[in-house]
Amino acid sequence: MLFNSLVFFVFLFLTVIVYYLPILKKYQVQILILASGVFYGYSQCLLLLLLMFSASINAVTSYFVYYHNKQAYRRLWAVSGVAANLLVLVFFKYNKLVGSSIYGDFSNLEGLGAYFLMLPLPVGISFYTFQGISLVVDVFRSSNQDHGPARHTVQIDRSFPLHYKKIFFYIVFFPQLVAGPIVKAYEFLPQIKPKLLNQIEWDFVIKNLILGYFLKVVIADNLKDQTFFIAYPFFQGYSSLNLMTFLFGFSIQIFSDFAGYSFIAIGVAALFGYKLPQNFNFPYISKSFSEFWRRWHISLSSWLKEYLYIGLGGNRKGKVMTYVNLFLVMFFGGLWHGAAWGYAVWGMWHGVALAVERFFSKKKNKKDNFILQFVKICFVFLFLSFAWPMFILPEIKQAIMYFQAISENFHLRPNLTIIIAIIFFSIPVAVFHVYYLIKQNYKFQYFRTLEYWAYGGMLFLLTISGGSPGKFIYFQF
Amino acid sequence: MEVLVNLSIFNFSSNFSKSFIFNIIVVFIVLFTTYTGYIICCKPEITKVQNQWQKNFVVSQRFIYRYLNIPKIILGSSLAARIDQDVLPADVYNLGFSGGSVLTGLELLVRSGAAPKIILIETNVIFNDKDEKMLDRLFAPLIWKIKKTIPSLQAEYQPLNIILSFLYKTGKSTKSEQIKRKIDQNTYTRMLALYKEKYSTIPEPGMIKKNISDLQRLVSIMIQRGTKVVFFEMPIASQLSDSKLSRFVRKTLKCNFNAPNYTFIKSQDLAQYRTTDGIHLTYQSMLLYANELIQNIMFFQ
Repeated sequence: MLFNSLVFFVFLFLTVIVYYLPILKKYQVQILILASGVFYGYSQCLLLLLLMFSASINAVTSYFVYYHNKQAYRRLWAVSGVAANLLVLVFFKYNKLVGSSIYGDFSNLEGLGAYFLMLPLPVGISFYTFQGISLVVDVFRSSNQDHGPARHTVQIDRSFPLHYKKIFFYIVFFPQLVAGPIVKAYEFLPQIKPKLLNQIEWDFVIKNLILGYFLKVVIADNLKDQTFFIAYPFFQGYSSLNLMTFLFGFSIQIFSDFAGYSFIAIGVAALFGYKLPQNFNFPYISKSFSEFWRRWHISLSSWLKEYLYIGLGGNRKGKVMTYVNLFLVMFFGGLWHGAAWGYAVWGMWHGVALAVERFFSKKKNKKDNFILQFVKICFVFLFLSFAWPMFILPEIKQAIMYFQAISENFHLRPNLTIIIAIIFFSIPVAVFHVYYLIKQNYKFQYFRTLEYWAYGGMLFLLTISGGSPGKFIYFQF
Repeated sequence: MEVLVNLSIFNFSSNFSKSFIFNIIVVFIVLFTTYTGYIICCKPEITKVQNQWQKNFVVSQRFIYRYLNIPKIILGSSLAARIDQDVLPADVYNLGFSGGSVLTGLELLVRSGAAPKIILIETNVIFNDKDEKMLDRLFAPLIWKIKKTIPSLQAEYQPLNIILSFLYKTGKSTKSEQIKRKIDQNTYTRMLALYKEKYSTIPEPGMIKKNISDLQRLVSIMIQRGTKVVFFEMPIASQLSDSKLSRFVRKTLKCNFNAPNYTFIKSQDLAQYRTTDGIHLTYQSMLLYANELIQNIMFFQ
C-alpha cells in the first residue's frame, strides 16, 4: 500500500478510529499489528509469512540472548539471530546477484534453482532485517556488560508472550515497515504503552504530513518525469548541460522522495503516539562528506556506525584499519541499497571520499568564512550528484557511457524546458535548506508567520501541482 | 531516546494548536481562491507543458472536458502525437500519446462515452499496452467531476505550465525556430541503430494476442456507436518501414480487421519525409504529412 494512494487514506482513517476506541484501549498493540498486516499484505500477501518468520526469529533469539544463564550460550543465540537475519536478507535480496555471479545469465535455468533465483524482492526486507539485527545485538550488549555498561540498554519482558507481542509489533509497525526510518529497539520498545487521543501532537503530525506529501507529490513526482531520461539509452540524445542538470535534479528528487517518505512515516507514527527517529537533517548544507552522512538517511548511517563500523573496530585499530573500515562500511552500505554491483561502486565512491577527507582533515578551531563554507557546500553537492549514475543505471558500463556522453554532447542543443522544470522544482528544496541556515544563525520575529505561509503554500501546491503518482524510490530496497 | 524527531527549524508544540492549523487553512484558502480566480478570469493560454507524460494527461483532460463532441479524432503513439494540434482543422483532435499506445486513446473514447464520426488509428505502434494508471487517474470517481468544475485543479493549469508558456511566448520561441532546427547526425545514427534492433524482433505471441483482441473489442464498441474506423501508418525511416516488425504489424492488422468497415491509408511517397531519430518526423515533415492526412480526412467526409 502506498502512502500516496487513496486506499491508504481510507485505511489510515479507519485504523485511527479503531485504535482510539475506548472499548479497544487494551488491544492497541494488536490493532496496529493487524493493521500492519493489512498494509503489508495488501500488495504482497504471501510475503507476510516471511515478515512473520523474520519477526519470530528476532523475538525468540533476543529472548534467549537476554535470559540464558551462560554467557557462551547468550553469545551463540546472538550470533544465530544475526546470522538468521542475514541469511533471510541474502536469500531474498541478493539471490539474483549471487546467481548471476555464479551462472552468468540464468534466465534459461530450470528447476528449483531457477525458482529461488526468480523470487520477488520482499518490500522493506532491508529495513526490517536491519531492525532485527539491531535488536539482537543491543539485547546482547545489554546482557553482556563485561566491558563496561552498554551504551544503550534494552529491557526484555520475563513473560515470553508479552515479549513476543512487543517484538512483533516493533518489527511490523507499518509507518516504518517498508522504507524506514530504521528504528532501534532501545528507541521504540520503551514507547509501547497505552495511548490516548488527546495526547496526539497535532501540530507535529500535520506539519510532518504536509511537508512529507509536499516533498513527495509536488517535488519528487514532478522531478521523476524530468530525470527519467537518465535511463539508457535515452541519455545519449541529450546535451551535456541537460545531462548534468539531470544529475542535480536527481539529487533533489531522491532527497524529496525519501525524506518525504520519512516525514510521512514520522507523522503517521505520531498519530498513533509513537516517535520515530529523524532520518534527514538538511543534508545539502553539508560542508563535508562525513557531515553529509550525519545528515542523510541518518537511521541507516547511524546503524552502520553502531553495528558495523564499531564492530569492525572503528578507529581503534590504527590509521590504516580506520580507512579500511570506512571503505568497507560504505561498500556494504552501498550494497545494502540493492543487489547490483553499481550500488557497491556507488558506496565505494563515497568510501573513498570519506577516507580522503579524513586523511586531509586537520583539527582546527577557526571557523570558515561564508564564501569558503558556500564553496564547500557546492563541492559536496556536486560530488554527490556525480555519483548518482552508478546508483541509478543498472550496469556500470552504462554509468561510464553517461559520463562519456557528458564529455561529448556539448554540441547538442540543450532542452530548456527540462532545465527550467528542474530549477523550478528544486527551488523549494533549496529554500528549505537556506531557511534552516538562516534560522540557525539569526533571530527573526516573523518566523512563525512565515511558517503559516510555508505550510499553507505547500498545501496549496499539493492541491494544484502534483506530479503523476510514482512509487517511492526506496521501496525497491 | 537519543535521536528523536526534532526538526529544529520548526518548534513543534506538544499540544493541539488550533490557531496554527487554522492559519494554515486560511493561507491555503486565500492562495487557492486567488489562483482559481486568476485561471477563470484570465484563462491563460497554455502552449507548453513540462513533460510528455503531463502532455498526455493534459491532452486527455482537454478532450474529456472540452472536446468530447469533436467529430474527427486521431489516435496513436508518439509518432502521431508529433502532429501539431495547431495545424489541424478545428474539427480534428489529436489524441496521440507520447510513449503511449493507441489502445489508451481508444479506451479513453470508450470510457468517456464519445461517439465521433471518424477515428484515425495510427498502426505503427499497436502492441504497446494501454496506460491503465493514467486512465484511472483521469476517470477517478468524484475527482473527475471536481476537476471539471474547478479548472485550477486541471493539470494544464499547473503553475509551471503557465510560467513555461509565458517564457516561450515572450522569448519568441516560435514554430519557425523548430523548422530551422537541425538534426544531429550522431544522435540520428545512434537512435536509428537502436530502432533497427527493436524493429528486427516481433513481440511475444501472448502480448500480441492480448493487445489485438483488446483493439478489436474497443474498435467494435466504437463502430457500434456509429464511428467510421480508418487505419493509417505514419511515415518512418525506410530501413524501419521495411523491417520485420513493420511487415508483421501490417499483416496482423489486415488479418484481424479485414472487413468493409475498415479503411487503410498509407503514405504514397515516403522518401519526402525526414525523421529526427528514425521514427519521429521533423517539424517540417510533420507539416507535410499533416497536410496529406487532412486531405485524406476530407476525402472520407
